[in-house]
Amino acid sequence: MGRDDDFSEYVGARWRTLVRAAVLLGCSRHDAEDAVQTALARCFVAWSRVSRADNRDAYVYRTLVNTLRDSRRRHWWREQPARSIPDVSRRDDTTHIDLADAVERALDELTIDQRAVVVLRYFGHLTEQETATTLAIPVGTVKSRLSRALAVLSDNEHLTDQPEGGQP
Amino acid sequence: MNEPDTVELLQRLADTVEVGQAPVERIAADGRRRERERRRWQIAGAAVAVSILVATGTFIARGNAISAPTGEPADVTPPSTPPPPAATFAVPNVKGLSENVAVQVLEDLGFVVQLNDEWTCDPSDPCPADLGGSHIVVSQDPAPGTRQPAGAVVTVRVEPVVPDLSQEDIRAAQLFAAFARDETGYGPFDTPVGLGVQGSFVKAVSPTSPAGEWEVPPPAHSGISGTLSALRIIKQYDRNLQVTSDRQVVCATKPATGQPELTGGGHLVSIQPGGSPACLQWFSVDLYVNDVSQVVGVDVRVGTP
Repeated sequence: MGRDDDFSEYVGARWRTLVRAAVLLGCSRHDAEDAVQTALARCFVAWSRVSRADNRDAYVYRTLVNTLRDSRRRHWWREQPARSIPDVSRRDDTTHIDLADAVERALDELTIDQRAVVVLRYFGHLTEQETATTLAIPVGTVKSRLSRALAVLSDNEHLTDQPEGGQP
Repeated sequence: MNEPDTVELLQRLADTVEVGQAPVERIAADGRRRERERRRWQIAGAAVAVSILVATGTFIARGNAISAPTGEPADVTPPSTPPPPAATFAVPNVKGLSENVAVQVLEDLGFVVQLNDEWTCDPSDPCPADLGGSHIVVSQDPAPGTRQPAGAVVTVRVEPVVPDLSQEDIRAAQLFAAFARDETGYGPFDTPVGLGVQGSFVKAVSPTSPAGEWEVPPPAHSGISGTLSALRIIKQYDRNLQVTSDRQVVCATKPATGQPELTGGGHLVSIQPGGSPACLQWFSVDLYVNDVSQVVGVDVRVGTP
């Protein structure tokens, strides 16, 4: 299988998961596909290295995380859309507070570093070692960030106030 | 908050993100453009380096250094390059996740899921195969971390997790569902059975009454036209159902407890859609079951944002 075919197969298999991971990492739904496209294009250039990696996903996630970091650095001085102004895909807080909204809000209360660890470990299903390599941090830091992040999520009012069900 | 809970919450949020088709060609084209740019910079960099070396007198041309050895023909056969290994992916750890989330996680990663749930029914019982309580993954094959190609089969074994429900409660729910689907002609009823909607008692019926007697008016301000019937809801819902001792977290507010005429002193056994239904797709057929596993009340609850 040539590089292009191998790349196409990988992108076909992973596109949806990577876009969703970008959203979980804090990207807006609108920007997530752009970020993943950029990350994958970077991976395309180095596909021989990606192919040889023990875990291709870990390599691609590392590129995605770096792409998002670059994006944040590059755009910090630009006009930013206010998060409090909902775009069309964001649900109306007063009428549609459901579990997904609650999770999104809870993730917003994590630091960027905690959020990255949680998403890579529990959504990307990377091992602690792979997560550490992806984020260029020690494994111990991964463990401590995970521990603190889970504590924050456990105490988060958006999740703990979730009702037992039923209608409003 | 533990690991399975976190995986499940993230998956639920991820499921709300709608993603279009992968623009593979566009990404590859962008990759090729980046590749060309990189080569251009590499060539420019090399030229600058040679210029510096020449200028400083450290570069010495070695004219025949790259010639083939004399006397023997140069081997012009291109070196055989081994084909790149097929794309493989690490199988995630789905143990401890609910069945629906585990399947979603694995399928999102390109694996084919084979469920091993032989425990669910005794073939001699009138037991709908899709109604067996909440399920949780207790084992998986291949093991977590094993690398498998996309499309590989991952077998997961699921077992019921109904800590607050007895087997009798599950059995009562299964028999009720079988009755609703006209599979048995009898149900686990005390008589008469109280009918309600959103926790409010409406009327009492005999289990042998015609199906039309089970109709109850919809909740006020729900926007639902026509009547509701627990039997019809169960009968028409052709996807998986689950039995729980309480209602799922779906809609925004906590429902009131059923009125005493409806509950009849029984405890709650709830039949709801499996998976992660949106509020408007959610329903709960709440059975109130007495201490001898007979249904004394049936309450229909629907999502009404």
